[in-house]
Amino acid sequence: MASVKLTTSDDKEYTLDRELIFQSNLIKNMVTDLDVFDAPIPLPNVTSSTLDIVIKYLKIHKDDPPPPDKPIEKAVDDMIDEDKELMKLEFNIMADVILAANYLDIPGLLDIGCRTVAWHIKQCKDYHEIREKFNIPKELWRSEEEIAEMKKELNGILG
Amino acid sequence: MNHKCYRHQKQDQENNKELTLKNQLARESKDDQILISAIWDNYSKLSWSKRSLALNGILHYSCFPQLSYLSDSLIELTKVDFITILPSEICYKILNYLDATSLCHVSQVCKSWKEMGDSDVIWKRMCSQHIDKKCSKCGWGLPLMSTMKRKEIPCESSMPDPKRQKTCSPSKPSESTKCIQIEPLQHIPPVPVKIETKPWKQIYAERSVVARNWRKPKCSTRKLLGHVDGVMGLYFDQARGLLISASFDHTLRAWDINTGICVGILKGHTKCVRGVQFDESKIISCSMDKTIRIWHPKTFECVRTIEGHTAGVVSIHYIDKILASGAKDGIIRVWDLAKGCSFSLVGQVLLNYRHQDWVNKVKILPGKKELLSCSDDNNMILWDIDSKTPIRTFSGHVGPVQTFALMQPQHGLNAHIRRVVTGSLDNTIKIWDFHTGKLISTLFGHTEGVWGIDADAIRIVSGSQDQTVKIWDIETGQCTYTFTPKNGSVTSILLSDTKLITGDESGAVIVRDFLHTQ
Repeated sequence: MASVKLTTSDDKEYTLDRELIFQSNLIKNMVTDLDVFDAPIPLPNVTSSTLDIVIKYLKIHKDDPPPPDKPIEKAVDDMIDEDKELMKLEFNIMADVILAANYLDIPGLLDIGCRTVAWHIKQCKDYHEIREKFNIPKELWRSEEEIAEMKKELNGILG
Repeated sequence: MNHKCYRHQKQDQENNKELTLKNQLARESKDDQILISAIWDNYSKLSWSKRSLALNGILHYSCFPQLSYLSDSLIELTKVDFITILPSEICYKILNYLDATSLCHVSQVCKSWKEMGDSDVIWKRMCSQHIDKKCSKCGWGLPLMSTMKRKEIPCESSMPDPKRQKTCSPSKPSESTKCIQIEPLQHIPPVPVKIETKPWKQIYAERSVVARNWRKPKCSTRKLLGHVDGVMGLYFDQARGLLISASFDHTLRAWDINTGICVGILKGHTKCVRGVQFDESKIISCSMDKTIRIWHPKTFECVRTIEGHTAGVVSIHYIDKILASGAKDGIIRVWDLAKGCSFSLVGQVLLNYRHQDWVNKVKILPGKKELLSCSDDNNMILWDIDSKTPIRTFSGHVGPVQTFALMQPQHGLNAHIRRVVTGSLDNTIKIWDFHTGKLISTLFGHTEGVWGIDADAIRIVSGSQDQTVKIWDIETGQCTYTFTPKNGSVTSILLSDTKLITGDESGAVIVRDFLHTQ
């Protein structure tokens, strides 16, 4: 089976099965359009530790049927257990994985990454918890008017 | 190290961390300062791959207290503010998975989160999931913005084509069913409608208030007084805030819904006015005096009287320039106001397939190909307008069918079935399958005849001789609330996105507002 060579930002070289890495639309298009086989493809935005996680994902999903054109509306935590396990990451690594999925154009991985972040936001009972969870410093940016308007809006939506 | 990671890119903007570090360093002795800054300098000069080795060494020479210190600091340092560091299209993807509650929390976090969390992209989607249907994720829906707002502007040219006018032949058997030539409608410039735009989040918030108030239900009530006899017809335009009521006292009244002030009295009919409808360019009413009148939309003067029916006209409905009218003698006429001709829907008389009694309501269906009518003969009929023949009869009521309303296609188990709901003087409300004519369910609750019905995607409202107004859940068919105004029988009813408007026997029009409840 033909393989593809990749180099990560920290200069590690990977040799991967075509079938596996072709889940990345970026690599697939590069290889098929440019017909590069032997020269390793540089990935300046992806570190090896991130690529390791991406490869884990690719292995889990290598036999998946092609995704439907129209995304199906699913609940935020409607993921298979393997994906949930895979996404048990520190936030900085998760951000790297999401960015890598975006860069490599792997829609499925991007989707579960976004779902997981959304799930973490959803677990927070209020904005204090969100700030705590994502290490966002307090900001004194609201005027009295803004606070009043925001309260009104919140009352409208939350009841 | 030329490659900056997003952690340091972000810190560059703030620069606070580095300043604190420098301040701390300044407090140390000269020798220590040199040592420490040498370690930092050397470390930052290393490439990423070599840094790991350097760290391994530091870890190796650290004792437990330092390791604990490290592990405590790491918890904070590896937290990532996703919304700030990720590109906005990915942020939108994340936020699209959130519900309204979480999105509200998001906009309280900080400025950049608020910008994201309030964006139209997100809230438009929230609105499209919830408005006019029940959301498949959270199971509740919000009422539609404005069901009565007419978006299309009436045709520009209403001048008749004289050749075409002649194609309408006046040689029909009986007086009441023959074709009648009328003078084509002159063009009246439409009243401009102000279209406001507001953020989708605000729309969602408003809809939420309305939805909650409907469930309670909580509303403000305004009584519009002026008619001296029962109110038989109502029509409302949310965009203009204009309500017109038709009454037994031979007049129509135009009301400003926001102030409750009567802005015009339309006098001219010589008997009870039964029906009214208007758009930006015309007001049309029908009366038991056998005429249909067209009024100016601004001055409220009568600009035309259409004669042709040989019995009182009970009901009208129009789309653009096609007008349908139903009369006391069971005849339904369809008028082309642009061409200036009309014909009647007689059905196949041999099969006895036409209304035998008062036609209480007519409605041209979107597409102008079909027409629904209901009658004192206990039936509702669906007509094909072009062939002038009935397609289907809905029979099952044991009393006169006073009114009907089309139920909007929506969510739920039987969402694909187009349904129509009828109210009858047999005290019941019936829901029918529009495509088969089969009865789906019967709603019991009113103790006397049902005069008025209206429906949207979420609820049915009904007004009855028993002096009550009932709200019904469209899915379960349960009565969720009963208003008992005790103002005489409720003779007409209208449902808009935020308002429930009823007209009663005493001549009062009651406006219940579910948005502005104070």
